[in-house]
Amino acid sequence: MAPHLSRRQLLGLGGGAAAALALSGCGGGSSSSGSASSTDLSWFMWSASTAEVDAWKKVADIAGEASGSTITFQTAAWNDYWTKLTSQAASGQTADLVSVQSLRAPQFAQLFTDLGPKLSDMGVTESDFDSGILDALKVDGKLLALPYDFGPLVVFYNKTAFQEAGLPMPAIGWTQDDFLAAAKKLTTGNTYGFFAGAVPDSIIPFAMSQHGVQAVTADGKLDIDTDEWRDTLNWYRDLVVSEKVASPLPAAGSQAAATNQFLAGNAAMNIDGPWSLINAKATASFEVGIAPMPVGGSGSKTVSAGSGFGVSAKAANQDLAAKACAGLVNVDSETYLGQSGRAFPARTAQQSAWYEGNGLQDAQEVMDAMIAAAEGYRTTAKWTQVNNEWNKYAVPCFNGDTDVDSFIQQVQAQA
Amino acid sequence: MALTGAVRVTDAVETPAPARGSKKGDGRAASAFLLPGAIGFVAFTAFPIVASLVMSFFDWPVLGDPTFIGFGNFVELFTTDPVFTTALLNTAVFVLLYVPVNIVVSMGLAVWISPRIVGRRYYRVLFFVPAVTPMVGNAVVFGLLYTPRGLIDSVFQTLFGVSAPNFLGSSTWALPAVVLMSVWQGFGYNLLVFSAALDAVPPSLTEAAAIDGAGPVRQFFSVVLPLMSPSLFFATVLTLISSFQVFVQPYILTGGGPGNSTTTLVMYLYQSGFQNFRLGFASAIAWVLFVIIMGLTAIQFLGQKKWVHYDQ
Repeated sequence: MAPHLSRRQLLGLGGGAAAALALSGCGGGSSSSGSASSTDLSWFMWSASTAEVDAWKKVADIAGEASGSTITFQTAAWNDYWTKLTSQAASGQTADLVSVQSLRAPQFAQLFTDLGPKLSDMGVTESDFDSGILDALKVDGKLLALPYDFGPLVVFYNKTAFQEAGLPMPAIGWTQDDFLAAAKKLTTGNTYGFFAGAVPDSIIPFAMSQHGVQAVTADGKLDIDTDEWRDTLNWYRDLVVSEKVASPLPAAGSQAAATNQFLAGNAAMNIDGPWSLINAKATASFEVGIAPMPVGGSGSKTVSAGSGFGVSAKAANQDLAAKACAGLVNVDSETYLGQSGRAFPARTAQQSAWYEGNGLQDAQEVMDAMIAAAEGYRTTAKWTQVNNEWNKYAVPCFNGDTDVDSFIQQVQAQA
Repeated sequence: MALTGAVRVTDAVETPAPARGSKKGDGRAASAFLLPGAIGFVAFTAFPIVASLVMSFFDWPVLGDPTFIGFGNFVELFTTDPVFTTALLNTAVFVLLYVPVNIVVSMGLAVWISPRIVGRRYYRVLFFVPAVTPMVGNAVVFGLLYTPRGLIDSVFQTLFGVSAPNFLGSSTWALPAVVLMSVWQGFGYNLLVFSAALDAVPPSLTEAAAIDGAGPVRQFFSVVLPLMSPSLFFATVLTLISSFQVFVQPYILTGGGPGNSTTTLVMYLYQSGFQNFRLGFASAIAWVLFVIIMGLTAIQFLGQKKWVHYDQ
């Protein structure tokens, strides 16, 4: 009898231990993201490399020291970040400090605490920051996040290709006729003058320069069903279809296509933001320059976008989180981010660190001009949806398979 | 050939249950051992399934409060929603192209490497490699192959002097291109299943058929294939289920475009839930997909009586 009993006991013990192990395993995952002590905060931010993670951890240390807190850094790749943030939001378990891109601010507005009334307690002066990006991070008067970087969309061009073609370098005041003439001359064989991206970012600066319109009106409504937009879209489509200065679009969904084609030397011009400049210069086998948007009917205009850090409405210690949030974009953090080339600082006084720390003084004239000519990039709460549909329907439209009207109809249906 | 679960279940029923009493005490140990698995099942399978069913009857945004709307999501799917019908149709076309091509290719290659040809083990490994490499990586590489001025286009220009179609940028070519990539990725698994089944066919039967005057083709279709039918059934069921759930290939290759020409049900589910923030609507899509897969699998199980032979 005794051996029988002990066998059963053994079995029971074994099973119980396994169950306990499984349970503790389940618990471990969720408790690690929570805040244990009163000065512990968590911060969720996207990143693309270990070097970037190290840089953000350094910023977390600066902010922790400034606010008397310990900040745990959590990260995900850009695309995963938004999926993860969405599922965290759905389950009500976000980090205390959450990063957000200005284009997605309306979509995630409910997630954030309004920092506006807290600014003086946080020791933040609004006028220290670029007003355009600060406005872009406000939704219905609520300041969702403090910006750390921003930038206007500009023309990236292949200096080497321009030189070889004997073309003058695009400078302030160059026109859309100059742009088209250069693009024609630069298109030979398998190399094109321009990459006509299928994303709104590639087209909105042209709509701004031609007609002074964005895809979203000043009162926050998606409106591309206008004569102005029809004109710009037809002009843009013609770059591929009739002028043939841009390659047919390879696929929807390849957001990086434009950058890759430009960097590979397959397209001599491309629309991009300063956040890509340092990487482009380091990666490309040719010299990269930036030019202002070519002057159209409304001048040389563009839009600017950026990102910032906000406090989750679910954060337990709102005041401490707000102080830490201010620390993430304080003078030290912004100087460090600018100098190391991680971000074009949203703090205007620290922008010189970006130029000087990265040998980009030659870009300053164009940057200053375009920052002055930029409006904040306006989006709607359904912008991801709009962006997706835009991307999917722009491909057949710009490839000449469908017309501009059907494109407008499909995108406008997402309003 | 292995016996199926169905046969064994019948056996188990016929076996008299062990006498109760003497082994009563094992119940506690058994439950203790079952507990970890049961916890996992409840937490990660049963709960999400029930939760998604509940959610499908709500307008459930990611941020904000859910509202009960009854069958509202389902009604919207089948009446006013412009994308769902397209996604359903795209998925159906994908399945109809992918499943037969996958089965024919994997069966063909399995038969080809089945005779004692030199290095057939290496062929098996070679053909299995795509199935074990990450699909995302494969999709990215195929994206580069398909792109204008990519490898396929260059070969076309060299051989024929004309450009290849803009595979992923054309509404006509995008879905076949996605199917082709999927077949390349997926045939290795079925090939392994078929290869093992072919090895299990007793040579004495084919030899007997040969003596009776049956040629290789007749031998294959009248002797080998019926003997392989359980494997064929298994492969068809699993391939069909997985092909209805196709997501990664269009997600990476085309983003569901151009237009909605490669938007599949799961792709649309993902977009609805995680990009458009409509979790209830996405759950409704999941349940429609579940019912479709369940129905088709049930039909396959009913149909197997006609063509699947479990006797040796």
